[in-house]
Amino acid sequence: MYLRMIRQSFFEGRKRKALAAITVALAAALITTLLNLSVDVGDKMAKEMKAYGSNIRVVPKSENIPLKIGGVDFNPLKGRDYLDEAELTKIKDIFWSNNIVGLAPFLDVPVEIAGKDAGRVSLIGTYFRKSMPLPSDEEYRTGVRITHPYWQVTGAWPDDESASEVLIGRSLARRLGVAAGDTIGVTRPTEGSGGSAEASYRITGILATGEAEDNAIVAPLGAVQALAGLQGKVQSVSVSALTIPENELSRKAIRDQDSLSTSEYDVWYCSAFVSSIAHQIEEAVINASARPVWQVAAGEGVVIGKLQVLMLVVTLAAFASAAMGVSSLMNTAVMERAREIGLMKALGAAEWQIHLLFLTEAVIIGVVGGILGFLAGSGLSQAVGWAVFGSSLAFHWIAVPVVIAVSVATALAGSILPARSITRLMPVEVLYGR
Amino acid sequence: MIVYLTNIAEAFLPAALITGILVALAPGETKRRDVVAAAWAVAAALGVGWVVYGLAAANGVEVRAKTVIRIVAIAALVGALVLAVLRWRLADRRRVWFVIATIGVAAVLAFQAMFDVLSGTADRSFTATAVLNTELIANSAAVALGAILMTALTAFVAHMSRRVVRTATGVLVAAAAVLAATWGAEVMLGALQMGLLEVTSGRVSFVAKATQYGGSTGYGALVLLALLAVAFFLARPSSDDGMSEASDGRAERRKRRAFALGEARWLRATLAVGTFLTVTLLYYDLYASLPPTLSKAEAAVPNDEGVVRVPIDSVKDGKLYRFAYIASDGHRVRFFLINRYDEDHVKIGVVYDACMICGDDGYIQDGNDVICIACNVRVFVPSIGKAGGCNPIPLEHAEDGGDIVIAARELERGAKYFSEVVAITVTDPVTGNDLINLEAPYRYDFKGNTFFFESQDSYDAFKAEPEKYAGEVEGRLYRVQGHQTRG
Repeated sequence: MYLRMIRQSFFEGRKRKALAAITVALAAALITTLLNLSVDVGDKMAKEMKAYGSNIRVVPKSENIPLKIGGVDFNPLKGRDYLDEAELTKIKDIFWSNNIVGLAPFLDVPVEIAGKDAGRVSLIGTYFRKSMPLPSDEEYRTGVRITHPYWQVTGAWPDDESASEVLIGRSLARRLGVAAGDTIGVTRPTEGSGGSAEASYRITGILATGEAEDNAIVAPLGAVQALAGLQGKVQSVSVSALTIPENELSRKAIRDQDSLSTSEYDVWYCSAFVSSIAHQIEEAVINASARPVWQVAAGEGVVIGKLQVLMLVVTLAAFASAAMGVSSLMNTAVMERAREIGLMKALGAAEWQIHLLFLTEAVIIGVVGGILGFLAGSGLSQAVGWAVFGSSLAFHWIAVPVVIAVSVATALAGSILPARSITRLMPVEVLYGR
Repeated sequence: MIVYLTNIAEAFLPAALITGILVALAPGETKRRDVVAAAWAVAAALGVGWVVYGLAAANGVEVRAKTVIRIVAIAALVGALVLAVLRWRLADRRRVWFVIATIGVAAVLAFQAMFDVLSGTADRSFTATAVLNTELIANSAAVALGAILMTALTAFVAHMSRRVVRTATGVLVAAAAVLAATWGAEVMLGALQMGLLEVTSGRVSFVAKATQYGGSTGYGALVLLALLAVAFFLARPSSDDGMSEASDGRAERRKRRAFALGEARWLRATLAVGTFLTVTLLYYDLYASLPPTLSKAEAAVPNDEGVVRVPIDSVKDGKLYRFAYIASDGHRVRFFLINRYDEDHVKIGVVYDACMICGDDGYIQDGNDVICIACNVRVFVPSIGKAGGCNPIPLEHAEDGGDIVIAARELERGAKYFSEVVAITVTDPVTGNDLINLEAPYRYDFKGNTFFFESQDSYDAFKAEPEKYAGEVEGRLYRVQGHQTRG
């Protein structure tokens, strides 16, 4: 009976219902867009937090002294304090040393290109795949080829032991018009005195990383140290480690290590959390500060995190306005069908049975509007994704039920007031046409 | 996601059952005003439960708080029974008091269930980050679904109990008795933990049994729900009970039919929710919450020279090859071989399937990762064979003519890393008779090796001069000693 009545009444007032569905769809499109953006970044962040591999950046302690005023870094020690290269083996000596897959030191020196007016460019010294004999493993080799597997080289990787082979960043190579096999000379402006050290390097390959290295020359660490007169010094170390996902305990430890009880501290220390590995590196290397690198959390995550409250407000506003639109349309429907309702009441239908008819119509409108809005919103969010982050957004199946649920809720919220007026209808009055 | 649903179902099912029955027992019709008041009271109780759990966890007094809450909850159960008895005494008089008391019982049970859900899911992360993400939405949906199902179930139980008051009262008494027993055991456990009660073996045994079965209160509640549904089904009104049209009129008959249809819908809805919850609980307990299982271990039987030989060619494809050796006293010593590099650079790691820190839960291979089951850490495969961290314990071995050669002597030394013991035939070192190790009446540990004896006499004889009978046995290694190297 109920289904038959729904089927018969559904195609009445088609225009009005289509209008209501479109109202819901507009709100749903907006909500889909915001939801897609937020979930995309949120999922990336969650994945990063749950990953089984992480990167840790080790820098001298003084680098982490915050001395920023008005966004400008006034730390006088920035870039002038160094770690000892000889200390690096200690990183492979901590409790979780087996979980440290690789490490790569970095030393960044500003240089000028001889004979070219290219301004100052970075000359970065690092390990490519350098042999680093350890007491436990004589054949241990490490460097950027292990810690930065996404670095792509067209040509050959330089030999770590040579003092004259380098890689050149993709953008810089294009700017200078050089290719693999060419030779370039660099000069180092020595501060204070006017003199400069010079060196000449042979390019073995073009490097593409998508980051700052695209605009730099990357050379074996020893060569850069010799040029800069900084024998045995490095500025930072990238450590790649196999870790387990962060959980309550590790988050507590990140917030405040002193708040851990002794047994909690033991569990934390003996679990391969990225935070505990970082802590152990700090213990092992003198004057070092180690921090996990969470790329998404530090980039897009900050943006979305700040925008989230705004998104919530916009969503609520869309929800409320769509519900009001539906409400007025449903009110008309109740007025139009007053006689029908009066007849049903006179025949002995219970209040809730009549409500059920109207609410079911509202649910159908909500589902239809939600699906339309989801389709429109998916397209819109791709456009926003390109505009904001410069990349397309992945499809998130979770958005489908959420958007449809919100749309149905919108339609139902809009039906509450009209449904109440059903209660007030007196069969005698409407059937008499008064 | 399912963790939250099962925790909510397990904690709130008894509360929903008892509250529903009490609502049905209340004299007179249920008024809208009563339902609204009850909803507010339960919501407030849930909020209080949240705050209390937060405070208890922050101050490290969870055990105390739980014990106190259990005592209060037992008091609420007693209150529920008193109400059930009172119903037969005073009919419509003092209805208000009955309603207020029912709301009180519901609030206490909801408060306790909230506390249980929070303490049961404390180690789970609701979301990894504050930014909206799939996990957060899915978990929120699970909580919302749980809340809807529990509310609906309360209404279903109330409706059914009205029709079968006697059965419902019986179910209430049974539920209260079982819950009081489990919660009483938990109070006792709390008192033992806090040192308020002296620990005796009888008490510990009672607490252990009660808390073991107490973990299945969710299933218990579902069984009682099924009982109620069966009674409701048996008492169903028939749509056509033989009355003739003439005697009763058509309108009357149609009313009956509508009523019967409505009752059948209540029953179907209850069965649907009950079945869904049962399937969810079973899926979680029998499948989702189980730890990963180890792949099968091949039996490693030493040859006449007392060594196990494994051809390198058969284990060099990068997969984890697990073997098991049965030690002289029945310990099952698992070890595995894995190629640490690729097929062109064959370096076989030979290790025990146990970790110095985590024990003998073992390691599994998932894709390219080798994972410690106990602590979920990913082991860096090229480092397998090295001691330290959560790496598997290295096993001394040699390479000879394309084979990995492991001495049975070495495997014997590592037997104590493993706790699994299988039944084998052993010899009493004093009398020389055979017996089954697990059935031996006496046993004695000497240098980590376990010896089995058939009688008190041989046991005493061995204990007096173990060196004489044990022969040349090598001491076994224990995990507490840390990594040991020969020489």
